[in-house]
Amino acid sequence: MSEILKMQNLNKRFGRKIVLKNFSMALEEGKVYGLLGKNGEGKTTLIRMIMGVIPADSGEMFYKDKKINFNDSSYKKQIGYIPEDPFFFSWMTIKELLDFNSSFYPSWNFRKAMDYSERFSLDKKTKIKHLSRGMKLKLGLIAALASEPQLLILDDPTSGLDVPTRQDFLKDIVRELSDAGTTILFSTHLVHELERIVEHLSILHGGHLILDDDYERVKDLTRRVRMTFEDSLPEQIEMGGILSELKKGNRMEMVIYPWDVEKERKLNMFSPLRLEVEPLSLEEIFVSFVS
Amino acid sequence: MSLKIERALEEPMFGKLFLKEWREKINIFIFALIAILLFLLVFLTNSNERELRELSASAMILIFLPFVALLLGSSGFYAEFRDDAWAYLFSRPVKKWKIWIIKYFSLLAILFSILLIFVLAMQITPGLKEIVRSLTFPTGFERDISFFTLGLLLNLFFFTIAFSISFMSEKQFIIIFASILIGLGLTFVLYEHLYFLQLFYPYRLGLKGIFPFVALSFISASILTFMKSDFSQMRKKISFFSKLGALFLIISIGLSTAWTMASGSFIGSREVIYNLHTFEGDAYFSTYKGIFRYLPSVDKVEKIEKSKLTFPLISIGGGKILFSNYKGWREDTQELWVMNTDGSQGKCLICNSHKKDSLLNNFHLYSFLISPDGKKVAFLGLPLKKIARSSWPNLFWMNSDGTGLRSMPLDFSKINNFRYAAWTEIVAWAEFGNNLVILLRPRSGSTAFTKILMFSPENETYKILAENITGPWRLPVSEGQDFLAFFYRSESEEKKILTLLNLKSLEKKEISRDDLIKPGKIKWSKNGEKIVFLSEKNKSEFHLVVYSLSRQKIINTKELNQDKSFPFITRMDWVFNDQKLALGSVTSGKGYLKVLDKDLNEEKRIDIPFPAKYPLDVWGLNNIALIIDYDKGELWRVNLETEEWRKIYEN
Repeated sequence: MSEILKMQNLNKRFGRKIVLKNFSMALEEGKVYGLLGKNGEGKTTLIRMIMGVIPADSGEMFYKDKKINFNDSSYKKQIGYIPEDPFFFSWMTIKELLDFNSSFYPSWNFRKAMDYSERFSLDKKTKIKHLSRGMKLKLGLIAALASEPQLLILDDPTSGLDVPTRQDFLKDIVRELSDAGTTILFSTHLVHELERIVEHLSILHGGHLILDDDYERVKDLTRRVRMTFEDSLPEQIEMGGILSELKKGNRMEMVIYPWDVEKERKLNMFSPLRLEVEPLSLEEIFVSFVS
Repeated sequence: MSLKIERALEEPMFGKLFLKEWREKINIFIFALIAILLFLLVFLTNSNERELRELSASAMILIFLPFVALLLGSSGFYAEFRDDAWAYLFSRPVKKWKIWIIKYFSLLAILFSILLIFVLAMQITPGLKEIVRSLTFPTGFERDISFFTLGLLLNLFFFTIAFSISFMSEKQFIIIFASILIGLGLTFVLYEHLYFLQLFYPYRLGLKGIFPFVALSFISASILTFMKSDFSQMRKKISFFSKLGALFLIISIGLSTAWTMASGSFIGSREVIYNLHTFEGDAYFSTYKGIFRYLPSVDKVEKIEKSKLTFPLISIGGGKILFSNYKGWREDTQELWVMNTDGSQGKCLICNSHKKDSLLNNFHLYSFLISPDGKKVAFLGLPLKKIARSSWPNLFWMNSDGTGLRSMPLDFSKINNFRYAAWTEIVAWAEFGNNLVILLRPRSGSTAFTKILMFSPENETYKILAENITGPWRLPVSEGQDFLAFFYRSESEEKKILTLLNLKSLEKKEISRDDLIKPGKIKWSKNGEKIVFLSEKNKSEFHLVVYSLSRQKIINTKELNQDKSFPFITRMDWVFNDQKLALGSVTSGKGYLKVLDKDLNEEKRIDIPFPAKYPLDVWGLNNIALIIDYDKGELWRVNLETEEWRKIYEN
């Protein structure tokens, strides 16, 4: 699969605070990427840099192998972007806003805009100033989807949506888009939302990616190990990939990535009374990686 | 770039963005319309209150419309940054500079619409156009820029400055205040800078030139900041803009300086007749092409100095012409030449002033004057290294054969009100060429502190001849440097007193009149026997007054029933052997000459054959009058008897 977007050694700081440090990442066409990170780790900053809203201090970005600069714009015609808190001109009606937005995108699909408006129960004559946050997010979704994007970037968009719409969006719309070959970069802190749709998992921490792998692989290779010993715990277990460690009495709990049979053999050499190995949920994986 | 802008304007989003701006700014448009309507109402209902009409028209042009421009300009981006809409706009597939350009032109279109409505109102409202045309500046500004043009330029200027910095704050009033302070402050600095250059070069760029340079600096800095800067970080954004703005301003100042210098030696000089003097029945004038003499007896112009000259100023006396020239670009490469009035026996008096061992090294020379007998030459020099306003000039004098150059610093700081250097100039030679009359004018503050001094080069002493001089700006000296005329303000009375000073005997004759409240132009007759001056009692009463020295009384006076602008744009000279007067005047862009008979009655009116917008200087040579077309740098003569015009010099 070819790369639709590639970032190399991006750096960004706000005053003294380093937000991104030699950040690199590549998105392959047609995949659904989950970008996770704690609040303030730079997810929104990264997305704003991709969208040309703010410039990187240094580093390079490529869209379909073509280098893009801060002032480039044509690549954005193929990108749908829904910010966390989308802005629209409050005096416009929904119809006027969609009309205004359509002038920027040559591939704007009026039919699709109308269909989604009906699907989300938005009255086109309603003024934007009368919309709730959730309704604005729906409008943002329509605006992003009607441009027929090849890459859809979602910056934590579902937190303001009601449960039915969120389900509809996550289950159906994202899936539809993914099936149609649209690449999706989904940034969120509501980790459990991603579990059903994500194909590739990236965790941003300390200014760079600490995990960037296929979600299925991550799921397969991340394990929680519980060990019970007869007397005291071993003084030290020297082993690579221990993400977290918890000791209590003669019990010990670890999260290990990547997990393999060699590591299981090594742990058995400490002669535990019991050794339990179990998979983790996405939320648990995320917490283990960033804690 | 212009092609790119054209394409940007053709894109479908331009129309949408354009309409969006109109929709968002419609309240400003309506506000301006209501204000214009109110103004028209005040104007039309006060048809007899000329002052109120003028005041309201001035306020509209110089205050209200520029304020609307500020409102519009400052609304460019501040709301986007207040509401975080900039992130929305920046994330659209459109180049950032296009957003800037489209927004700028959209708002400019609104501003132009408002201005167009005002201009249309001017055309259809009875009396408004005339009032606006008659609006003038207090003094000396008219050749730089007209009142209405300044108003229009202020609109564009403030709009552009405010728009350029409209993304610097979320508060509109801060942008408005900053625009006023920065815009006017920078313009003032630049104007002063160029005014300073005018000491050395004939032309300054003027407001019309400075406004675009400052505005372009802001536009360039603003677009580049828009394209390159991180708008999520206010400090970075301001720092980026400030650095770019400073850089472009420095480039602008450099360009405007270069422009000024270039126009002084090349561009401007093509259209300039620098000096025109009448002397003993002939006229002498200088241009960049050389020095010329017009002989009315044969109706012919002779070129008496064939070299190309830079900023040539001339002084005539005793059958000789003294003239200056710049040899190179530097201020200290001035030359001073003297020759006979027929152009023969040219001699360079000062040719290597910039050499280190020269007495004149590092001086900028000005105020050249040859003595009435043509035997002596005097001039002033400002020290170049200390040319700040605190420096006093040196006085130089020498024989006109090039010998006996001497110099001494003129320091009048002990005189009251002149603790800091004043503007100093040589007015005339006095007491048979032994002494010099020098005018001392404060650089700022009241012109009432202006003094006339008599300076003795031999004894290096001076005495004050007159104080509280109120005018005219150029003190009129009779052709043979026999008499000097000036107005001074009497300390005991409110009125001003006209003084005629005999430069040989130093006798003074004072003429006091009730209507000398605001005295205007003065012109000596060719033989120095009488003077005519314009006197303004109040805004509607003007008098021409003729005083005879031999009869020691006012021999004629005539009330002029003219419109208010008359005294500001009227120039005059004696014709027909000092028996009649020729007055040059301009109304509504049309110039004419009026010939007044010896009783000051209008004898005839002769239309001028070119469009005239500046005050028309008139030089009389018996039955001939000379007038300069300042726009084209042409000299015209008219036979006042036959009314036949002829162009006698063109560039």
